[in-house]
Amino acid sequence: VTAHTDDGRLLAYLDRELPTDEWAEVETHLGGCLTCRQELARVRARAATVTGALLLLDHHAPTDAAWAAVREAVGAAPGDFGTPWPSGGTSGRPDAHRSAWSGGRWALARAAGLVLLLAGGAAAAVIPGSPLRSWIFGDEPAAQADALPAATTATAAAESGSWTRAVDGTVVLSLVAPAGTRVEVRWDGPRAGILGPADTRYVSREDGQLEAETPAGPVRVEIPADIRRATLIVNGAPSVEIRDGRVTSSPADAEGNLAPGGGALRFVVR
Amino acid sequence: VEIQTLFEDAFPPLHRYCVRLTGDPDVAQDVAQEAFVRLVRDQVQGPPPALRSWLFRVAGNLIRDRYRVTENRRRLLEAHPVAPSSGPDPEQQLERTRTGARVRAALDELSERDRTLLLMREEGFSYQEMAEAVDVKATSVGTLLARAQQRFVDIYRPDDIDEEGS
Repeated sequence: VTAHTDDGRLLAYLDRELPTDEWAEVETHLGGCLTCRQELARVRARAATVTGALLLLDHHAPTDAAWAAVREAVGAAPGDFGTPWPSGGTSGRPDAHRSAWSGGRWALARAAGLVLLLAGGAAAAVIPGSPLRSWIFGDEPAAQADALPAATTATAAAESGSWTRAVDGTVVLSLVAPAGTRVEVRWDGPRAGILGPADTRYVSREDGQLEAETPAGPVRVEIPADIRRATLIVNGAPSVEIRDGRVTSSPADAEGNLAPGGGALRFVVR
Repeated sequence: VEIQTLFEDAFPPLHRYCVRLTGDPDVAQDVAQEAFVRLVRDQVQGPPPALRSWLFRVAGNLIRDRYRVTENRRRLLEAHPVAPSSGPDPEQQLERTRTGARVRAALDELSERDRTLLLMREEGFSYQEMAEAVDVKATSVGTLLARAQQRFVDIYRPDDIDEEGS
């Protein structure tokens, strides 16, 4: 008989922090042990409680003001921060005091080119047939496409900041929500978006935070699959938690699956 | 990695981490900015995850320097109760403020190590990165985190887990 799994190991299991063989061992044990499955549910609920509680402390990050302050503090001239950061090798450890500015003017020119590419990408978000539009709207079934008329969703996408720098895959969270549902997504890293039916009201748009109040109907939340962390909050309560492209917490009735690289999860908001 | 890209990716979570640690958005902004200024001035380089770790570690040290006296920190935290971020309903705002104050108090009751582990996990750091931040073995992080979460919940909502887990 295998001993029960303690909560520290179960948390590491949920966080995908166990070595592969150990993770598989826990997975196997959970399959045959009701006690540990119940303990896993308790550990998951506890982690979600902590996450939900901490969200209450958050404030808008004043990114633009901070960016200006940093530039001023280091005496940066306009354009200086276009310089690409050196790759610094693959040691995983930053090495201080090595020259980080050797890129010079060539680097500035490369950065300027990248900015133009990104600007073009953002504009393409509302152009039918563009790769970014394809990323935003995906290849959903016709029924859903009908529910989200292209013109409306294109506008919604543009207003919601649904564009991205690089996409290795897309995580799609589909909700069927009653009228007045308040959907909020908070994330780190590249852009995310909420695509709601016509008359969706976007309450706010901030760095790493997007809120929408929706009429009845389907709502899609789209997140680049390589995102480090995202939280979907429905009517004030954490509903889905994603870490490194994997769902660590979700409604019991959610269908579908997510894995690194993409996937979809669907559930009904009651 | 472009500096501005790094900033856009790293500043919001760094600011959030600092707000959660200090309870003061203004101090959090100062600290997060200062960490980034040092990164630029010292010409620190490395792959993005390592730079991100560096920023959080420096911000944590800056906060520790600012709040070396516990009572001073507590006083500052009490002086900056959580402000509701949205919602016109005064009752909802009041409830959010009250709940936020409980969260603040629970965080404040934790040891520095527990608090750091708890908040770093919320920012998506790996166990290895957390282990380096609090100087423990990576294999101990799961257990330490689980205990930290339990302590937090015991203070914040003592009956919560029993209800949800049953």
